[in-house]
Order: sequence, then structure tokens, then C-alpha cells
Amino acid sequence: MNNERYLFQIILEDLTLKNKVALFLFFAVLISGFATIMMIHETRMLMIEYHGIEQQIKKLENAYPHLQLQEDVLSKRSSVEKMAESFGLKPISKEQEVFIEEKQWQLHKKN
Amino acid sequence: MAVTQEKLKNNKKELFDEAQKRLFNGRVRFVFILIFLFILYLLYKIAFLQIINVDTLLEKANNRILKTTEIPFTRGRILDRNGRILSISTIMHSIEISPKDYFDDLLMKDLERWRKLELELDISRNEMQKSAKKFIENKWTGEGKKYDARAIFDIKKDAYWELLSRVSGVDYHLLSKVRQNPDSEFLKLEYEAIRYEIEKFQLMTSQVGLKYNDFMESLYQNSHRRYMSIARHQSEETENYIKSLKITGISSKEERRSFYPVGEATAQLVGYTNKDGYGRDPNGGNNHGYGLEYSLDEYLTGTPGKRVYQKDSRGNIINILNQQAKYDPQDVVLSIDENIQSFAYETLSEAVKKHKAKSGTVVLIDINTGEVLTMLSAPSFNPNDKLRKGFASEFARNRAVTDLYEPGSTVKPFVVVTGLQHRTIQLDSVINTRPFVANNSTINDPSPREQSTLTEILQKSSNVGVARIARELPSINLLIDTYSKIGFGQPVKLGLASERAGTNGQRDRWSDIEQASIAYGYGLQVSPLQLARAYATLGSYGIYRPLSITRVDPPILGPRVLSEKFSRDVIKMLESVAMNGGTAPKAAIDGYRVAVKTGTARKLEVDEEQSQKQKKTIMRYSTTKHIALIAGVAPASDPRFALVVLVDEPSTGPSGGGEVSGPLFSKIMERTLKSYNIKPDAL
Repeated sequence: MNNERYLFQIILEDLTLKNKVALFLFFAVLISGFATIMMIHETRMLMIEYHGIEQQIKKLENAYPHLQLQEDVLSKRSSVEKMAESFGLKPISKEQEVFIEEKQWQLHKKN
Repeated sequence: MAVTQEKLKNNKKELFDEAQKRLFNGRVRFVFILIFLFILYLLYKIAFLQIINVDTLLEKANNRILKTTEIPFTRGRILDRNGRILSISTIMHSIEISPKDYFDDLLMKDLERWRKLELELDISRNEMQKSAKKFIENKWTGEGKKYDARAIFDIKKDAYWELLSRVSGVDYHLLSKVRQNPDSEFLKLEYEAIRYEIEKFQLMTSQVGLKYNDFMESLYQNSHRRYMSIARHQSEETENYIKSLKITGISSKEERRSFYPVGEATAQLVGYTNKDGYGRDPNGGNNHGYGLEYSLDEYLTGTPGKRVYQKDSRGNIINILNQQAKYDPQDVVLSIDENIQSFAYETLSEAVKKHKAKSGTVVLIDINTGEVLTMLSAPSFNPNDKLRKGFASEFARNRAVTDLYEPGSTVKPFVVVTGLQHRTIQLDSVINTRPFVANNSTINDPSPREQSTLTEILQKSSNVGVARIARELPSINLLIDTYSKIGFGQPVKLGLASERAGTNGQRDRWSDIEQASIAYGYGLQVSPLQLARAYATLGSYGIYRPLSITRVDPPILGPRVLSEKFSRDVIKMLESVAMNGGTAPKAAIDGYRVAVKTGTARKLEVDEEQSQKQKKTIMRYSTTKHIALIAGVAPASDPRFALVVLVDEPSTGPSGGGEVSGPLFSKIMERTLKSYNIKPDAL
């Protein structure tokens, strides 16, 4: 028992007194090892997030043409005209028509 | 004696040692050789793995770790001149099921039900489950299907119990204990599970618009297959809804599908894509692609991107090793005006129905730029139809470029221009329009007159008049020359795959009747688009511009092919056609002056009687079938648009070009002039 403790002490002394560099390196290895694991974990989390965002973009990109289509259908002239008529608007008759013609020389005159 | 004996012994021992040594040496050498060979083999193996076979092995390794996916590009849109969408590619979802996986899952049941069955039958649950697993995995070598899937849903029938017996390995008669037990927990659970399954399918089929019974029928029929398509091109909401039903074996796939919001009106011009999202040749294979989706395919197609990545077991991307960006193609902007195109289609298809005509075609050209604003024919087909009805039919043909007609009287203005240019007639000439005989046939007019002015010839569309003008030309080739210059027989080169060039009427030998009839539009063949180009040339006072189906800015210059002065004069004469006394008063537009020319050309058909007699195909002009044509420009004071309306074989009501196509000309041209804010010139 005593002997064992003695041995242990020797090893410890040996390490702390004569092989500081080795001890330092040992801890350095440990730290860098854990740091690597953390970094990889972090990277993966970011990758997953990136992938998720990418999926979202894809979804939006897929939805965009459908919205364009909807806009196009709603803004079709015939459907706008139909809607206008349902609001009580109607196309102007020939008697109501007024033609306005802009002429260059008139503008000059005013200025 | 003893010494010698000892010596001998020693000698023997030495000998023995020697032999042993030699033997040992031999063995050592042998082992060394073996080891050496082994090392050689190892070296070879290393070399083989690391140097010689490296590529295939690397590939194998990468196949296990790396995945490559394609990043699809988005197909370019086809837009009209104002940016309205004519074709857009969207992502749709196709729903599929693996019937085998689905029914296998049903046969496997769940733990709860096996437990109940175990209690009621006193047979080990594990045994039954093992038997079920075996039943599913075993390959079926007997006749027909392994089992009738219908039985799974029908607990009341014997078939259900027979199947259960086969699956679980329990004796059929033993199962009747459960079957006749009204309080059976197993039965209760089984009923509930089946009701639940049926309900899920009912919800799904109603969502995608299928009949439940039809769907189940095909599901039963395909029960042994691993793939069955349920519905194609569904929206994302539908896909999510069906996924939320959590039916075993259901999966979905992304597919591209193009939509055509304008539908029928642009169907022939734009064409359609096939199921892979590429422009489809409507005639499949042979060289007669009609639509722009097909002929502009290379502009509308991009390059897909590529990504090489590592994936973990859960399907998350761990690392992206290599990525190539996709390239999305640009949109194609056409010269077409969707607003006018849609209006023209409605007007034309109404008229085609009213006159019970075979078809109708409209071509509208902007004279200043040579852009085609409207090009369509009716009847058409719906390019958004899921069942693809009418695709690749004769209605899918873009008749404005693919079909050739004899232009009839619509060429008369060009004969007059030619006459004026070659000084064989003057503006104030009065032409003798008494009928005359050429090659035994009399050329006459529907309303004969003794003599006519040039304006009267065009206004009343006198065949005799133009035939006389053509006869007085120094050579008929001068007229053919004019025809060629205004584009008859010349390809339009819009880039549509099926354009036909037609003919300018040139021939080696001319008979009198041929010389006469070429002046009123028989003996040559033009497409409606070519006729519109000819009128656009007249409308620009003789400038022959190349046409374009895509938006052009600024306008392309063209050569002068007709005299400016005489073109103006002829346009002035043509104004009388749309007035009272002309052939097309119905083509007039309130507020605008229009210059038009009608044409009622008889169609060629096979003369059955003569063909049989002479044993070859003889063509003759039909007495009943004809085309009703009108071509013209507006406003006549400063032409901006050239319009051609053609109705093929109108069969009811009036039949003349002025009567049938005139009102269409008026409506479509009025809409065009108003929407382009053209100043009225007849106030």
C-alpha cells in the first residue's frame, strides 16, 4: 500500500518537475481535441440551419410562380373590365369622348 | 572396441547434427522465401490499391459517403410585349403510393391487435407475428396474386378469415371462435382500424378529385406493385394535406409543369412542354414543332447546378464538398399583345362557330416595327388541360404560318401598284371591264360593268379589270417580281419550326388563263402571315420590313420594294372598299379611315369523277368550299397596323370575305387602335 502510494508520488513528481513540457502537451492535446469536437458540432449545427434556410428559400421560390400566375389572372383586362362593370362603371360613348392633342409649339408658346 | 564404438557414436551424432543443420537451414530458407513472397504479395496489393486501381476504389468509397444532387434550373418565362405571362414553369407535386408497402403494413397489424388475438386464441403472439412476417417476405410463385387485397377490408366475408389464417398461420376453424365472438376485443379494434383507413382514403381522394371507388379498385389491382401514381400536378397544400393523413407507402415527387394563363388564345403560338418540362414537339419526333416552347427551347432551358455533399444517417447535410451554381435562363419577351390576342380569339372563335367554319386565322402586324402583335387561329385547344386533350391535333397547328391558301382578290392592290409603276396604266385610267375569253373560259365579274376606274376595280373587286391590267404589262414576270418583293414565296423566318414559304406563282410556261388568274390571286399559295406582311409593306408605303415575333426596339430598317407615291394612291383607293358600295362596308370603323381588300377564294379539291377517268389525282376549284378573307391597314391616313382575317370554309349564312371577315376586321382593328391611343382620322 505504502509502496504504491510511493510509486504514485514518484510518477507525479517526475511529471511535474522533470516533464513539464509533456504535461503541458498532454493538456494541450486534450484542449485541442475538445475544441475540435466543439467546432465540428458547431459546424454541423450551422450546416443544418443552412440547409433549413435553403429549404425555405426553395419553398418560397416554388410559391413565387404561383403568385405571379394569380396576379396575372387577376389583372387580366377582361376580368378588370368585368369587375368595373359590376361596380357600375361603363365604357364611354362616342358623344362623351374628348380628344386631347399635345402639340409641341403650344407648349413652347406657354413657356 | 569401446573406443571405436564411441567414435562411431560420436560420428553418427555429428552426422545427425549436420543433417539436422542442413535440414534446418533448408527450412529457414523456405520460410524466408515464403515470407519474402508474402511481402511481395503485400507490396503488390498495396500498389494495386494505391496506384493501379485507385480511381474505381475512390469512386466506390465516395459513393458510400458522398451524395450528388442536381439543383434544377427554372425554365424561362414567355412574356408578351407588356410583360404579361404567356407561359410560366411551376413546381407541382405528384402523389404516389406503393400499394405493396401499404397492404403489407395492414397485414402486419399492430402489437395491440396481436395481443388481443393472443388472449382470445391462446396462441403465442410472437409465433403469429413471425408467420405474418414470413408471409409478407415469401416470394409468390403460385398463379395469380399472392392474395386478394380486397379481403383485408371486408371482415364479414370468409375471404378475410382465410387470409388471416394464411397470414397468422392459425387454423381457419380455430379463428371462427374469434369470428363468432360478439365481444371480441380483437374484432372491435380491427373494425376501428379499417374504418380509419377507409376514412383516410376518402379524404385523400376527395382532395385530389378522384372517385373513391375507382381509386380503391386500382389500388386492389396493383396490390402487388411497388408504384402507383395517384395524382399528378397537385398544389403544395394538397401535398401537405395528404402527407398529414399519414398513409403508409405514400410519397410525393416534385415535377415541373408549365401554365398558360392566356390559354386557348396563345395555345398554338406558344405550344406546350412535355412532362419533363421541355418544349414539346406537338407532332412528336418528326420535324413539325409548332409552338415557341419547342422552337425557343434552347433559350428557355438553363443549366442545372450540381452539389456534392456528405450526409449523416438522419439525412442532414454534414458537409458540402463541391457546388456548381445553376444557371437560370432569361425570359423571352414576345411582340404579341396579350390583350388584343385574347380579344381577337374571342371574337374569331365566336364567328367561326356562328358560320360553322372549319377554322379562322387572325394576324396583326405593327407596320412601324414589323412586330407581330397577334397571331392565332380558332378553334384552339386548352394547353392547361391535364388530360392533354386536343394536344397535337389539327387545332394545335399555328395556321397563320403552317397553312397555305390562295390569296384570291386580296392581291389585286399589288397588281394595280405594279401597273402604275410600269406606266401601263395611269391613276385616271379607265379600264375596259367587259368579260373576255381566255383558253376557252370566260373571265367575268359578279356585277359586270362596261368600264371601270382603278378605284372601282378595287372597290367592286373586278377580276376582269385586274386581268386586263396584268395582260397589258410588258411581261407577266413583272407581276411575279412584285409578288416576290412583297414576300410571297419568301420564308418569314420568325423562328417557328413549321413555317412554310408558299409560292409566288412563278411558272415556266404561261397560258392566257393562268396569266389572267394570277392577277386575282389563283395559282400561288401564301400563308396568312405572308399576306399580312404584304399589307404591312403596302401600309409602310413600300418598305419591306422583316417580321419579328419577339419585341424589337428600335425598328429594323428594310428595303423599299414598292413606289411610295403609288402605294399611297392605292391605299386611298382601298378606302372605298369599306364604304357603301364597296365589298366590305362592315369592315368600317367609327372614327377611323380603313383601307381594306376582301377576298373570297375558292378552294381546290379533288375532282373524283375526272380522277377516276384519268387514273390520277385531278384537282378542281370547289363550288361550295371557299375561304373568306379580308386584309387591310388602318388608320388609312397614316397606316400603323396591318390586319388579316381569314375564315376557312364558312358554311352558313353569307359567305363573302366582306360579310364574314369584315365585321371581325372592324372589331379587332377598333380595339387595337383604341388601346394604342391612335388619333382618329375620320372625325
